[in-house]
Amino acid sequence: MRSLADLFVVPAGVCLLAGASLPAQSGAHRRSDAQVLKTFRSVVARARLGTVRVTSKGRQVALGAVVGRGAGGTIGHVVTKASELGPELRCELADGRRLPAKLVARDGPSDLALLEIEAGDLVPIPWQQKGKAVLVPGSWVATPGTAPAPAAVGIVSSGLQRRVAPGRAALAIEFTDDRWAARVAHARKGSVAAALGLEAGDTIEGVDDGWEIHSPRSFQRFLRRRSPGDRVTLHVKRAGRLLDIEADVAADRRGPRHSQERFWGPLSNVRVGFSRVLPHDTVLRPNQCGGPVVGLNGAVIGINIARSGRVETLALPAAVVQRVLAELLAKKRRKV
Amino acid sequence: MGKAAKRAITVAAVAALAPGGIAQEEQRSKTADATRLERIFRGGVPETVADLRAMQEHVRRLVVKVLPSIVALPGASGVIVGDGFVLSAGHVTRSPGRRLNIILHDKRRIVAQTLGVHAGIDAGMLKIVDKGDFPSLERGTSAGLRPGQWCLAIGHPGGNKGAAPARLARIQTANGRFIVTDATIQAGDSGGPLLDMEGRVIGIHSRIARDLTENMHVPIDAFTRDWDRLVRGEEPGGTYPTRRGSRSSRGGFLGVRRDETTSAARIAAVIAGSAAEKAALRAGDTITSFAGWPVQKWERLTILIGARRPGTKVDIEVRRGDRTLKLTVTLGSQQ
Repeated sequence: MRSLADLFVVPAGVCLLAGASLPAQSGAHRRSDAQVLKTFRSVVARARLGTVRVTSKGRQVALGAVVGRGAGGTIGHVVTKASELGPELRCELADGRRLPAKLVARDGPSDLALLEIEAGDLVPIPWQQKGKAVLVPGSWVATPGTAPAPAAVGIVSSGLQRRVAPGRAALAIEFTDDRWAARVAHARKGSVAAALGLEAGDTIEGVDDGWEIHSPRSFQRFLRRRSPGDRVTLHVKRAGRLLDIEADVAADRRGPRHSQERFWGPLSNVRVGFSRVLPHDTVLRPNQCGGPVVGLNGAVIGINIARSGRVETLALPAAVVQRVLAELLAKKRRKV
Repeated sequence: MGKAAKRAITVAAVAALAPGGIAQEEQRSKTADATRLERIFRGGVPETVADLRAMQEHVRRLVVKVLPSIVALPGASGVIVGDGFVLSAGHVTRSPGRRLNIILHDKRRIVAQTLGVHAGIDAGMLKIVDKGDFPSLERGTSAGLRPGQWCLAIGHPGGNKGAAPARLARIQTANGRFIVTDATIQAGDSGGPLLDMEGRVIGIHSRIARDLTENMHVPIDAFTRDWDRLVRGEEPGGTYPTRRGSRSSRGGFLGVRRDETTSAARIAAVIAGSAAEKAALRAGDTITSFAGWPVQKWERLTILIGARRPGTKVDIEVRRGDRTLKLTVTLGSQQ
């Protein structure tokens, strides 16, 4: 158990003891208690018919939303969260069918992907028309799964938000456990380190003009002052010689590291950098993102795009999803 | 309270007491709905979509009503409760007599002074220094809280950036020392209010466990019980440990205090027995170079020191008066 202020550090062990002394909780008094979820059955009844479970190698990686049919009426279109997808994709429908799915297009900024499944009789989700009125803080939202009761419920916590932060500057170089030197742990094939020409055992001793690097931490501290897209020079010591290596800083969409992140529960890998989002307080697992979220009238107000922190899940508003969807369909057509 | 507001309330009360003959039937069903909603909020479960809709209407109005009284403290939150008093967490205000900047819901910036704290229970209080009328919320009571009761948590989880998100939740347990809810809160929410469904403050966000349903709040009765002592600036539950030196305690330690009148690395005092004293550093010296790296600012110096192991030998350059000295220090460690 931790105190909440950023700088206030309590030895975690002491506080966890306090946590252990809490009486054992049953789920009966929780907001997402089964009784409460049951009341939402009729709310999600329509949207759940258009909700799919997306699996990769048999494991659920996301939820998805049926958004329409393709040419000829034999193909169904599903949108889902792109960054969680893996090989051997399948969609499990509300009626129990499990169909192979093909990834046909993806959009980086919104992290949405378009899947195709071979079924002509899919029920598309009912979009909320002109959604603003139902997005005021305090409004109920429900996230349908494929079961009759929703996966979870919550409330809109602060209305539509613009969040332009593109993510944190990052160079995904893995260092050894040595706290007193930024020593490259490995440069495996396909890693960022390998792409830069680094080798295992190289030590980054400085960057740009005269910034001393003496630990993995000080390297991260340096990166915090750069933006994604910047070019930096790494001064690298290899077998007693100093090399200069140019590197382009990438964007890390996990967001800024937080000292209490380990208290936040499992989060999505891509969770910041969306231009327009609707934050709500529903507690979802990362593999429950990608599907629709509905208001109390049962219409879909957006797609859950990320579990982004302890207190919030982010939904992309319907208008944004529909715009990206049009682009994805156009992209797909160009490919074919 | 303004005269106009008082009159409005009187009028409303009269209207509620004397329903018109024609509207009587409607009134009765409305009262039944209100009772049903109250029963849910006291610990029940919504059974129909109509129940959900009634809850939603209520919560939407509640959020609008309470938001103006929620404030942002540096990296934390608070709530104004009348007479210029702000409630927050003890670990936010830490000790009496500090001045903190507060950002109101309407983005106005004001100054408040910290009052007493109860470290054992994590209760903290401030008094607004600026003159003016500030929106405030009523203090409720935490004595009768029951598991299952619905509540609303608000605060600034991301510090003072943007809107304060609302979270709807239920009480899990409550006792005289803490309330546990399933309202997810995190760093930054500290000091923000837990509200009952009438918008009264029943708790103050304090700490969390790993489980997302274990969020702990200071019961409002803990404030009420020690109210006068807290207002007087007393610390009935002991004091908080000081925060200094957390960074350098892990790395090397020089043993100098900063001269706060300059941004340069000028030394105000040398700690007896420290590495700095052994290297003959003196108050008034300005460190200009550390291990070959130029030092323009104090912050740079602390980073360079903290990044080195205790025991490391480091060459430094020091400006003393109009002379520049070259010294070697062997970094110590902080006790």
